[in-house]
Amino acid sequence: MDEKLTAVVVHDMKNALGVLEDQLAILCQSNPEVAASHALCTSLRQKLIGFLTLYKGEMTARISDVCPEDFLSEVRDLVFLPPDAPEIGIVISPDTPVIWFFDERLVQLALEAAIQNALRFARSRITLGARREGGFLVLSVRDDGPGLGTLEETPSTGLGTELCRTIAWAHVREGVKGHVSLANAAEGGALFEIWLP
Amino acid sequence: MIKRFANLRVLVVDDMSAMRAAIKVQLSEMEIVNVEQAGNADDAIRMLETRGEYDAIFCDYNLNKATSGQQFLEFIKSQELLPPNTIFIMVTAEAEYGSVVSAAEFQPDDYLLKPFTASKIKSRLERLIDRRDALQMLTQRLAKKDYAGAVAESDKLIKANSKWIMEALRRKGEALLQTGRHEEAIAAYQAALAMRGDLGWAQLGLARGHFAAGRLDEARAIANDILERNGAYVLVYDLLAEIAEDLGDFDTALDCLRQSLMVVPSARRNRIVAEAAYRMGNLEVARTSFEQAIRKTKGSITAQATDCLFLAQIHVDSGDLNSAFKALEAGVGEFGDKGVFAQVQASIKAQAYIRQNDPANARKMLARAGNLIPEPGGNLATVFMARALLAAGEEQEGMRLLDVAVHGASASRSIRGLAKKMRRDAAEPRKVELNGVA
Repeated sequence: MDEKLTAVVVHDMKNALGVLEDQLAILCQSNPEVAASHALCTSLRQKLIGFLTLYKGEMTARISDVCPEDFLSEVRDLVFLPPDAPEIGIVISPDTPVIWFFDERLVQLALEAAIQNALRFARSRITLGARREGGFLVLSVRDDGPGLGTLEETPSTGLGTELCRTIAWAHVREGVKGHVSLANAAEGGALFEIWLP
Repeated sequence: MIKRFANLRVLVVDDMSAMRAAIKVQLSEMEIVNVEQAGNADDAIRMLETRGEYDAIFCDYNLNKATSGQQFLEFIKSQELLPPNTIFIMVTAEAEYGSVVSAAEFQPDDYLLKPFTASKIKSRLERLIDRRDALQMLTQRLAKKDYAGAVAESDKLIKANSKWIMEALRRKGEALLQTGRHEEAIAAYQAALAMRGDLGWAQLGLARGHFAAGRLDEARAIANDILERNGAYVLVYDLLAEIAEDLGDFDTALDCLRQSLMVVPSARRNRIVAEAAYRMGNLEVARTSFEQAIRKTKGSITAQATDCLFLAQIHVDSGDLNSAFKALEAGVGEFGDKGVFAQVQASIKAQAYIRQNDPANARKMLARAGNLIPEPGGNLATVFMARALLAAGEEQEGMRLLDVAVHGASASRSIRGLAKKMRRDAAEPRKVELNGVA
């Protein structure tokens, strides 16, 4: 399929989803049963934006100074959760710097993808974290699910993983590249981390 | 929290009424009901002029063919129509975001990418208002041009190691450069670069500091380094042009400015190229660039009387007196024969009459210019008056006015440059004549 046409179609769908998402948000206020549809719509829009970001070609990180604590609260506030969804908590390690330098928009996309993934496995809680590790700011998403290697009912496309990896790599500081990791957390559950130089 | 938003006054600028309505609905969910709308830049500018201060402006990047949201922002910032405490949010489509951001000469406070939800607007506004409040004292000092006070306010934020430290360092550097404290400015920018070595604004500030201190080679090396990583950083071209102009290398200066025009093809950039070309004696580039600026802004509120005036002066310099009178006539039609336009017009007409060997009318116009200009200073009217006097052979008074213009308190870099050009021309009258014939 023609690349330009693909881009136009995907953009159109994304914008339409945005409108739908807003309408569902309004409906949610009077009818809680719509919440699941709203959450689905949000995740679809995020996936499409992730897809567009990934396939647009070379990714440039536009770094600016960001307060990690504020950033994580905003990311959390923007996740729409239906009533029975897991809770999302934030743990800021005391060594976390007041500001760090990264592309807020891109890293938000990465964390959204990781959170969407965690939502599929978490039992009751997802924890967002920030800490400093050497020359890196490490942002993490941990769930309290069964951990890695679980058979999924609806297998993921791998889009989220690739998006996160590409976003981490786009962050370079004095020759040092960012990276991501996915492992089982010591406390149980799966742990996603994005390391930003 | 909700109270915090309820009293906000918001202006939404978008050419599509459906989009304006959508944002209005989203804002009303946050209890923001005081929302006004403008369908184009001209209406928005009128509202800014007449309806008092807004807390926030949401402006779509794609306003219409004539004016983009970026040009609107440029205009209201350069004309000081955007109050320092008003939060400006540029709304862009996902697809164009990259190009919009990299070529942005005047930065909005934030970008909002379509599609966005009401909760996204809410979280953004919350952070932007926090930021505005935290920086309020600093913003006020800078707005009042109280640079020493601004430095003191910045230092408070820096010492507290607050999350606004980078913005504090940035503004501290600006305030220090404004007051000629270059070495301290350099230290502020170096402090920012110590935290992150590839911050474009801090590197540009550093280069400006070296330039102000007379270290042109260092300034140029840093500027070139920034462009290598971000060729769309237009302010860096401006600095390189200033350096080249100071060295008398006018070709390079003009070349840098034309590159910036390719990155940001705005009427404002056309003017920058045109004025520089005129200062540097390149009448051809000056004429075409002013013509482009006039064409781009014709009928819009962003049109500027000075474009017509410069164009007329260029025609006089080239000996094309008919075109000069025509350009002035067009200017009267658009701006009225009043204010700065009237002051400068009289000086240009005086020169045209001198060239036409009509001393009686020339004297009349000189007298008119003299009456209209209240007090000579670092402004355009004084420079053009001086030019007219020099053309009339009143060398002593002409040179005196140029001195006043160069040293005037309000003289900008371009006014000073223009006055210097007039002085050079006066010193070499034969060369002017030859240029004119060519």
